[in-house]
Amino acid sequence: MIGSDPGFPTIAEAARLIASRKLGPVELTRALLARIAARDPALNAFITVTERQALTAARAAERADRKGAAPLRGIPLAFKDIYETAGIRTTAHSRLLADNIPTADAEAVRRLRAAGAVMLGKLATHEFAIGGPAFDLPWPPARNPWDTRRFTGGSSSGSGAAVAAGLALGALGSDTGGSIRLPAAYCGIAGLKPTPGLVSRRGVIPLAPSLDTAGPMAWTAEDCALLLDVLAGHDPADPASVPGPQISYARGIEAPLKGLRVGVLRRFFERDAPATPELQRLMAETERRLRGLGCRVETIEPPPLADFNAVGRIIICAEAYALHEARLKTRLAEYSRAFRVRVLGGALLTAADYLAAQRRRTDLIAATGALFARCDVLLSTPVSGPAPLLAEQRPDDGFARPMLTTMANVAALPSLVVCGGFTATGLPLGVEVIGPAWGDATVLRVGHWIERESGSRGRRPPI
Amino acid sequence: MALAHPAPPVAALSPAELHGLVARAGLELNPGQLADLVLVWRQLAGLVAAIPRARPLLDDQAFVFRLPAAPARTPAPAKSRAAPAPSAAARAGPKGAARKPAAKTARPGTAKPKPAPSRAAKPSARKPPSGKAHAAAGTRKKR
Repeated sequence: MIGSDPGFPTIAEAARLIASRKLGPVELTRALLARIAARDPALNAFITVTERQALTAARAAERADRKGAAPLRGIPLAFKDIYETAGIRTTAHSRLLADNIPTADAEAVRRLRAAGAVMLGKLATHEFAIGGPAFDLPWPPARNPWDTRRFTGGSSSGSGAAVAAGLALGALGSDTGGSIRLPAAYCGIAGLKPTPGLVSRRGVIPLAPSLDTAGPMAWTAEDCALLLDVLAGHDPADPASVPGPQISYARGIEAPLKGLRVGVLRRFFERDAPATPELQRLMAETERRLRGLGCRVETIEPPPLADFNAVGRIIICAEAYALHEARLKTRLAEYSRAFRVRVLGGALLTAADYLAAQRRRTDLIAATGALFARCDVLLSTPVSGPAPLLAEQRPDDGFARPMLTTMANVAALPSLVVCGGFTATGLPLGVEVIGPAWGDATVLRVGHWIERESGSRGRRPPI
Repeated sequence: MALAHPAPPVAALSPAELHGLVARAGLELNPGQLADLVLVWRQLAGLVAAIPRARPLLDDQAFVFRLPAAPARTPAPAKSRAAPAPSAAARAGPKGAARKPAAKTARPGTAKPKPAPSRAAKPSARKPPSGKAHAAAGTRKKR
């Protein structure tokens, strides 16, 4: 499997092979480093490749005792370049942090490395997780492995590209307004925005602290669950961290869905931000498949998408501007145009504007929570169609059109995107499963079954 | 590269107003940056206008900000002819307010059933989440 093109394992498969000594961590890491060298020049997924450190970690994983072995022993991962990594530059894809070398790992990175994971490097993002895709930065934007003319989605753009192209078996992303789920959809992978507070944000460069969430991205929902098993858990040093359920997210992922109640957010993708006919047909097919698995599927009416979008964009704009205010006054020209367009508007927002958004947020949290009296999960799509062309992206995207992903951020809910199928031209189409607070395990289970029924995981990008 | 999306019909800031706000913010923008800001502001203003403002005065309490944990209680100072030290009740005041905000506003027909803290997950909470309580909006991350 290793060395065959385009074959490469999932995290679950690699962990089994490593545990049974059919695959060595060094062999796996070398294969991925070779793949990065061969394919990343066309994708720009990586900002920094940590080859020496990766091989050192892989050798250590190989020497590690198999009994009671760390759950991610020898698994090569990469991290969005907003996660601080000790001794390795963490740039946030910005010239302002081009020489920033942290002295400690972010907590999420620390946990993954303590679980035996091998760090391959740091991944491209939008500048400070919002300003992109941008061509006026020291590093170019990442490109979509399914069609390199196309957008990966952002801001966890490098994470989406790297996992889809098999340059890393999994990655860390972050999601404030859709930044895990958009690249998951456009790159045809799985991406989880967990319940806020479940995964520590210590050591993650913030964008909008009211909404920022750290989360895993991988080829499958099962792989995301395996990563979450390591990532989840209270961090006393993160004031926003909350003790979550003491469960394994991966162990129960195969449990049947019979009797599960699924609420379809039809107004979002049929009226508020209409999806392409092809994607709407996929959504109908996904509903049919879920019924076939014994789910009860019904349409459910949420508050309008525009409400979530307005609240989310104002909070992001205000908080991001506040975080960067001092630097914007003295180093404005060093930021990308995309960053300036998306953040400078925060200078014109008043405190009353911001607090009105936060107050409205509490209404939306309550209204969305009430939906779960009738449903166990909600079904939607994070995007209106397949990945658009990279050259057509505009800095004001997100202001002019409501973003389908904002509901889960504003309502503080876990949300998973998986690949539900493909267009006629072979581009992936994403499906979104949203759960109640702390319903991450259920969301992952539903996503796993959607993947299985769609057969999408047997298809890799042609790169 | 021009911004492609048309702005919604929102009252635009006059150039003088815009210049004043930009100057107040301490920003120095070149003409291109100012033009970008004008277009984005019209879209952002539309989002601001979409959020309802009229709410009852006692609709919600300190929903965004979480008060820091109360300090450990210190012994009462010895009595003297000097100005009296703060009473134990006065020292416990903020702590009492942080733990029981609802007591101030629980009036029939006016207060919401539960204040925002019941939706908020407290950092020190050890109780397993019930599925209703979850991390609060507006929580500030400390690094």
